[in-house]
Amino acid sequence: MKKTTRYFSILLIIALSLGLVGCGSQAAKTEAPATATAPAETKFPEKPMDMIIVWSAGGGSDLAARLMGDYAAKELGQSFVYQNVTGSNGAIGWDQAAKSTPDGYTVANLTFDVLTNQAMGQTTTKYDDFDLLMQFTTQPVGVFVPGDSPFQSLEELLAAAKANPETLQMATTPLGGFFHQASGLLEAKTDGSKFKYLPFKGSAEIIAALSGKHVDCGIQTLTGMEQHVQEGTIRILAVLANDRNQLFPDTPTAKELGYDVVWESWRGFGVPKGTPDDVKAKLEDAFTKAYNNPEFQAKAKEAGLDLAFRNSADFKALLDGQFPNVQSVLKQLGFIQ
Amino acid sequence: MELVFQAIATIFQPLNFFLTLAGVLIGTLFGAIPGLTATLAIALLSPLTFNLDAISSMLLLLGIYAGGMYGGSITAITIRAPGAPANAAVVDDGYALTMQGKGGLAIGISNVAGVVGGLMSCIAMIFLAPLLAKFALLFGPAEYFSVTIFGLTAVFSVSSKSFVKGLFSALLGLLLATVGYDPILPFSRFSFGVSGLSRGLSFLPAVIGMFAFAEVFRLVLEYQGEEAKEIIHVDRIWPNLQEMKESFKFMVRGGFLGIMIGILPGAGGTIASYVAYGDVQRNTKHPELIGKGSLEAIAGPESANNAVSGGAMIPMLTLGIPGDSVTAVLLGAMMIQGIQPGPLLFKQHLDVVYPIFAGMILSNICLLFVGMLVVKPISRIATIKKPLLISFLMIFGVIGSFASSGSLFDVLIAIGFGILGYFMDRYGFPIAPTVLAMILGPMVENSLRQAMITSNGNPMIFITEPISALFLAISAFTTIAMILREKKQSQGVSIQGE
Repeated sequence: MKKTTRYFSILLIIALSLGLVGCGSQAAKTEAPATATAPAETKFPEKPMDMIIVWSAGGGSDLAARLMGDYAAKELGQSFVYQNVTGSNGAIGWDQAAKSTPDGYTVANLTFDVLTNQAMGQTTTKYDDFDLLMQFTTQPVGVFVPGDSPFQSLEELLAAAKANPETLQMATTPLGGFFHQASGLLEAKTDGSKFKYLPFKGSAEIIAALSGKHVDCGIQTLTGMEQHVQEGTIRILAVLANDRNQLFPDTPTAKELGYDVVWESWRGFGVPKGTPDDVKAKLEDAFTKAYNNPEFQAKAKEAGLDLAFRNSADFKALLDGQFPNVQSVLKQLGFIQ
Repeated sequence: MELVFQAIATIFQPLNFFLTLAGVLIGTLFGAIPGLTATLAIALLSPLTFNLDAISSMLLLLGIYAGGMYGGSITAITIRAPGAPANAAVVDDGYALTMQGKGGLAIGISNVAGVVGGLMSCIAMIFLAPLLAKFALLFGPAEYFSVTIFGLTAVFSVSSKSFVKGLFSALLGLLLATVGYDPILPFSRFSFGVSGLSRGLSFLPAVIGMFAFAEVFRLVLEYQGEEAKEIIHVDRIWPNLQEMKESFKFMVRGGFLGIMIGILPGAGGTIASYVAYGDVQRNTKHPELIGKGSLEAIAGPESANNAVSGGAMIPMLTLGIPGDSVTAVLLGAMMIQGIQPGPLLFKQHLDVVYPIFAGMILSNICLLFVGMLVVKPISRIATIKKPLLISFLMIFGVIGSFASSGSLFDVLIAIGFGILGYFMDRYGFPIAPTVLAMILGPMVENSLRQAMITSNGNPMIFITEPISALFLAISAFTTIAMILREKKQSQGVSIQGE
């Protein structure tokens, strides 16, 4: 009898906790329509806004988004409450953002991976589920080799990858991602060169692998690589951008070398589709003003961000242009049919 | 030399000194609340440091780093809910001590150990940074695989009486770690279409569940009414000379282990504290106390995980490669301040490097005082009535698992692991190997697969690479020693039985 009481109390504890969990999600659901019907006034914003960041707190994307967000919040006279909703290459957070009430009180930080996720079919959330506000950074990438590598130029590297396909080890992030796509495009331009891919968790691990000579080459964002190049532990062969980069003025672009590969990663902001136009206009205006704030520009430069501005229309055009390319390179790499 | 004096003068400026002290206090508090971590504290506070100059903001963040590692041990010792996975190694002994009324003493030892480990790692950082950084670069995929295997064997050989049960626990942890995103291919596995599972089983809720919730279930199911047993309450916080003498050896050993493991990017405090725990178990003069309230078993791991902080700073400062999640956030915070860690930092910015070193030493000294402040009230926890304690455990467990990612799904995970942990404990399966395997699982898998890609599927790579072979040999040795010991013991039992 006593034993039953005990098991009962355990069940009760679990039931209570489950109840708590249930209440939490219930509250979220019932709250939504109430705010949705409230007329969005130009008085926006009247309370702090949420910003959903899909990368973990303290990382490069997180810091960039918070910096931009803080200056935009100043323009709006309210603050952002930053939420890091991470996982599934961002799909979880973007899904949550796209499904939140389109009243302007939820702003999503968007990065290139939203295109990859959509092309891969990882998520039902499309970039079209967002109304874009603006783009504020670009992350140009380059091809790097260890300091004492025998390869002196991109041509030599690609020729070797063609002569002995799938022997040269290239460090990337998990397959199918942005870096792998860039490298896939390079392969496609050389008719037969193939690398052996070694996926690492992120940039830090790739830098370590390059400096420790555990790989033959790697694709990496340029930001933060200067020092390693100056020190001589890592060399840069080419930049995969339209123009040469100010960090490495002597390094040619792949385009100059005859390989037409431009692969640009970016960061920007969006709101769930259906957000009232006046609210969107106010947000875009605030982010634009914040971007042009000299104080922000100085801070961003200190933080090593490659600033690049596109307004909502240009940003949309960029994504519309990139998406078919993402699809075709993923097809070429064998990830999608 | 002039720069050294300048650095010392800088950290003793009133604002800087205050920020260091405040950082240690904040770090200790964040560390002590399950679910809130030093990483989170640094991430939350780094935007506030925009208005401070580079050095002041670094001092605040370094203080948090030092405090956080220590703070996590407080709840591990008092209520079986480790503030961070790195503190999980002291749960058994710490909680046993609390139940014996010696919780204050356990926290006191943890505090001293943290300071010893922290100071040792500062010294290593100051004198050996560039050298040790080169050592870290020798580790490629094969080496990482072998080190993580070494970490796993270290824990399952120490925490279980039965080899098979220990192995089972570790393998269960590895299996659970495969839930979520594949490290190589962009697909999620074993998520059964549940979006909460597709990002993997978060390990902080798992740790809280296995330790704290399992304890709640145990207390409720075995509740016999308030026992009239007299708890001898030890009001002492500071260890006496004899206790200090015995523990100090393990603090130093733990410190060395922590530094070495901390240097390897990604290995982190959790492996270090378990490896140190194993070290204590093999070398203590009182093996019968292990798991039942050994002060040495707190000294070793707590020194090791604080030593990791200095160790992890080395690749971060010299290579720009963070060694754990806290240093990753610190790296971001430094870049926001316009300081780019990397090979050139030591050549061009000694004016920044020295104050960082001085600040780390200062924060470890502050830790000694802040530690004293919080110990007294907490040390009386054993006198709390059981029903009240159960409620507290439950509340902190729910808050802790919720706060780590702001997701209620994680509370469910914690409860699930609580049930798992209760039954594992009841049937003699050790919990620690499962916890560590869940944390190391992704690293084991990733490095195994990377190494196999490198070698075109030839497993000999783990033996032909010398460092890797060394670690595998040590792992094999530990495992065989454990099997032999178990055999000997079971023979001893059967002879006695005859």
